[in-house]
Amino acid sequence: MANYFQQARNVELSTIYYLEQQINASWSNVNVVKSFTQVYDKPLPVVCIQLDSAARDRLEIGSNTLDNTYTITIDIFARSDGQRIDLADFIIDKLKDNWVYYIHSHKSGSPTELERTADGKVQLLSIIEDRKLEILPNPEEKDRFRHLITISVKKS
Amino acid sequence: MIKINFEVKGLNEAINDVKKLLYAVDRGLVLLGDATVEKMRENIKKSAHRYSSGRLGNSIKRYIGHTGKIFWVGVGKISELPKYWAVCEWGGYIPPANLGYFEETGKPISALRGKGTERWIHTGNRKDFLLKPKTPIRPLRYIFHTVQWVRRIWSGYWASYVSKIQVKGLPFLPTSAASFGFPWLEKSKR
Repeated sequence: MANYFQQARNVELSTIYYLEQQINASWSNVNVVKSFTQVYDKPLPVVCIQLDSAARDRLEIGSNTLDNTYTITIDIFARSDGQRIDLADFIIDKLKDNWVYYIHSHKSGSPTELERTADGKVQLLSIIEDRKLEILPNPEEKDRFRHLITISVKKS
Repeated sequence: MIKINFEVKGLNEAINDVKKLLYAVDRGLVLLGDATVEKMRENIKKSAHRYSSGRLGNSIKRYIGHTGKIFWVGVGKISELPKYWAVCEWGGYIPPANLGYFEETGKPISALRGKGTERWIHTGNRKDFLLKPKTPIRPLRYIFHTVQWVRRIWSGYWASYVSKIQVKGLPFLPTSAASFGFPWLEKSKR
């Protein structure tokens, strides 16, 4: 197994790291998680950031280099409708700037900790979805004020 | 007085070509609608954790119609989908707790929480077991992934065929509707 994480995982972790820093700098008590089931173990508000899928096309005809684009979902679970809109707007505003791409690896002697080395940028290609989610007429507390942002990014 | 007689050559032919093109695109859209239904069902099936009755997949159908002169093809109608379609798409809890049983083991077993693969049969009968979901349903994103697929296929279709368009009569009109085939869709229908 490689010591360093692969690009898809690095893109996901770099995005989580960037948004977590931005959110913590401007908001208080917002939990940022990277797994859907963790959302339901944390108090609201929660932001769940995950790599959804990767599309890999050839950079150009005949090239052996792949042009990888990644789809990342940002699920917002808010306490109120106002908070949902504010958080979504804040995140969109931060996403418009490209962010640092880090190569991650496990810290030697402490496998639960990560080490980061900057290696370029994660570039936002498009915002695919930015919408309120209404999953059922009378949802559970956690599902009441939900918002989904789906973005397409690549390493530059 | 100078009299000029002129004749427009190729205009009728061009109009016929447009008609053929529109017919081919309409036909292509219907085929794409059918393939989209298949793709969405496949996306649901491959993401299902438990044995599924196929109710959600079977409720997804292709619709066609006209709004004025515009021909449209739609896939899935919210009013005909089970009410949990959105929970499967975006994840979350399906409330409320309900009465029923698991197909084989009957009673819910707490040790199998999040691991079981049996189908839950809802009966509403008080003699059966009360199930309160403790683990949320993870997002399947079956609609999102299907829409992404449709975009890719549709743009590929135009990219493949627009380059074959020949100039004749009017600029950029295709000369033959036959060039608008869907080999990949025809294959999927077999």
